[in-house]
Amino acid sequence: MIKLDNVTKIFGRGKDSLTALDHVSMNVEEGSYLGLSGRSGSGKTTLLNVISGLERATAGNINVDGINVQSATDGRLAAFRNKTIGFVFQSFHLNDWETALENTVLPLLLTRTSRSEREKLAADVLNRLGLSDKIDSRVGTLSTGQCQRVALARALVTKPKILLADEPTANIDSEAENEALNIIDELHAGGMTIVLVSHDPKVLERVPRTITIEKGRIVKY
Amino acid sequence: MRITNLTGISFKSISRHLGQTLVLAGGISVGVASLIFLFSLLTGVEDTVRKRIIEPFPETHIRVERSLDERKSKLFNIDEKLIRRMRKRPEVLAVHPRMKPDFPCEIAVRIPPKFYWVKYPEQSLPINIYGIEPAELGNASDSLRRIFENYNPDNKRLRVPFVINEEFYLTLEKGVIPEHFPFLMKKDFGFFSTIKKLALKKGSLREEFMSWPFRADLGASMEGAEAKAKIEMKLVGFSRKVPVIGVSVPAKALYKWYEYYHKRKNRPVAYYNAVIVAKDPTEVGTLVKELSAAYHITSGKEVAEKVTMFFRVVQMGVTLVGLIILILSGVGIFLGLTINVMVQASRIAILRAVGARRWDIGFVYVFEAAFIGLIGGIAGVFLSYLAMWIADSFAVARLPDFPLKPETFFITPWWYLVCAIVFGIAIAIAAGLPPALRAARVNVARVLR
Ligand SMILES: Nc1ncnc2c1ncn2[C@@H]1O[C@H](COP(=O)(O)OP(=O)(O)OP(=O)(O)O)[C@@H](O)[C@H]1O
Ligand SMILES: [Mg+2]
Repeated sequence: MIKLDNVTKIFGRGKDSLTALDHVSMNVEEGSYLGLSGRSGSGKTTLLNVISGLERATAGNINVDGINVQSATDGRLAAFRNKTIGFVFQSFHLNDWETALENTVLPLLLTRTSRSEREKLAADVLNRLGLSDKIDSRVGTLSTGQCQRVALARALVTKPKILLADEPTANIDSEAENEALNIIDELHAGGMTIVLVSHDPKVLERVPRTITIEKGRIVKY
Repeated sequence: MRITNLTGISFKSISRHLGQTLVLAGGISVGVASLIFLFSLLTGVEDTVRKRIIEPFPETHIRVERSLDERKSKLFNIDEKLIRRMRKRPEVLAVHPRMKPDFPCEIAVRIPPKFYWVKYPEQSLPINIYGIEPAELGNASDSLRRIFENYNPDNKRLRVPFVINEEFYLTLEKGVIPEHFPFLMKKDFGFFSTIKKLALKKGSLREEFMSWPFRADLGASMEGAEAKAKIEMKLVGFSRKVPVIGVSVPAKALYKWYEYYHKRKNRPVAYYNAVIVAKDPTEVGTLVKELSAAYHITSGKEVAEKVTMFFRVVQMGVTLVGLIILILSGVGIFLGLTINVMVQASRIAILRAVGARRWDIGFVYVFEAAFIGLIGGIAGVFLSYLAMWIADSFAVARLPDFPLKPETFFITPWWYLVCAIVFGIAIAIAAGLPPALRAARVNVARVLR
């Protein structure tokens, strides 16, 4: 499903250059649940960005769901991010002044879904994540745990094959964390391919397989 | 579908920055309004000039007179020979000689006593008197022409018929008194104020005016000279073809007046000036070349060319001014949208991350700019009409009345509005392109760290 072959990402040039990913190769099977650990600055987020094509790798091959991410056009990549990938960002990146529903609907605005269907799909996901009473609340008024679930809802609303979750539980209390991980477990059971970034051993305990990155290299597979 | 969703995203952004959007649209509206205002003013003025100057003196017309210096000593030296020679030319359609008495002459009118407010029962006015050939009255006034043709100067019982310029009459009827004739205003000329009162009172002056007895006092002058002869006159009508300021009588009548005044028989006929009408504008060149050796020539073609040239130059200046204003408001849009893009970087990045193409993001911002342009353009149309209305009412209140003063100084064809709005939108889009490109190039990964 996700296949990386000698992927290198170097930021900057010359003296100031920084190798964030150093000849990374890995293979994530369809339907598998992979944990990604490593210290701050080790390159976890960069790895996810390279997989989703938000960041172009300096060298190497990336193939995700049959798409050559490195050489795909902007339009192709956009459609790929829209349909194949659900992204939960490290710090959510929601629009505070919009409601939970408006935030969740966002990826569907870029598809040919009708307005009523869009809102129905978004409301369904929000309901499933236990936010039925917050659908029309502005995100700015929600708690961090609720925001985290809105971010997850936005990632799931297009029914992606792959979920890339970057520290989804970093900012929330352990009860909310537990709920979120339960949802992810359910998604995994439903056949979704999941890559979850965390440096929290408690979280990683629940993940079937974890790889560790250090200074841009995979050190434990 | 996708496009409507993208415009929806634009509208969301617009409504979040409504104040800013309105200010930017206000900038565009000022540009659009000034374009419409300036062009309408130019068109209105050009129209007035064409109606008053070029239409009565079209391309086929050539006016022949002596040079200014010669005119001082010999006013009437376009002689019959030139007129006859020109009339024989195959390329000449008609020759209209025009005379003026070479002695002081006033026109008196006895205003009927039923108008009790008349302080002065009889008023004399020094006024231009032209002798014209009947043909000069044009086709439009066949009946007037017949009256002029059938006028017999030897029949003492007939009063001398005269016409006045139709447009001048219309301004009199409107109660517009020529305050720009200071010499008329210096003395209290009850004649004009009476006409004004009558006009305002009666609505239409025409029939009343034509029933009044007028009289030419040959030799009478403002300085107090006594009249040598008094000739009864009758206003028979109005024509657009005759000189604006003054009255026009049959040339035959003027010949007779010379006899009365100079007490001489068989005075050789000479004219003050003559208008030669060519059959075709292409013939004008050769005629002008031939005549300019001996005479001072003004050709309609040359006047038209000068006027056209003048207006084209002014038009270019006006376009430049309008465009500069528009471009300045475009700079406003550029700055405003650039700030928007910077502030909204994370929103843009999220959109990109969940599947927006670069093109989609660019579209959102170009659409926002175009919408600002559209709103500004429409507001500009209203603003321009407001400005024109204010300018017109200001002009009516402040400018002295003068004959032929137009009702409005502005003419606005519908396509001026369309062009101005299109210009406004185009400038807005052009100004919105760089920020849109900037938005499309937002580095998603860096913004979303
Ligand atoms: N756009 C960039 N320009 C320059 N350097 C960058 C850029 N993005 C990331 N880096 C650097 O690359 C390295 C890896 O960053 P990355 O964000 O992948 O780390 P991380 O493992 O996600 O850390 P954290 O756990 O703190 O989120 C860091 O040293 C970071 O400073
Ligand atoms: Mg990170």
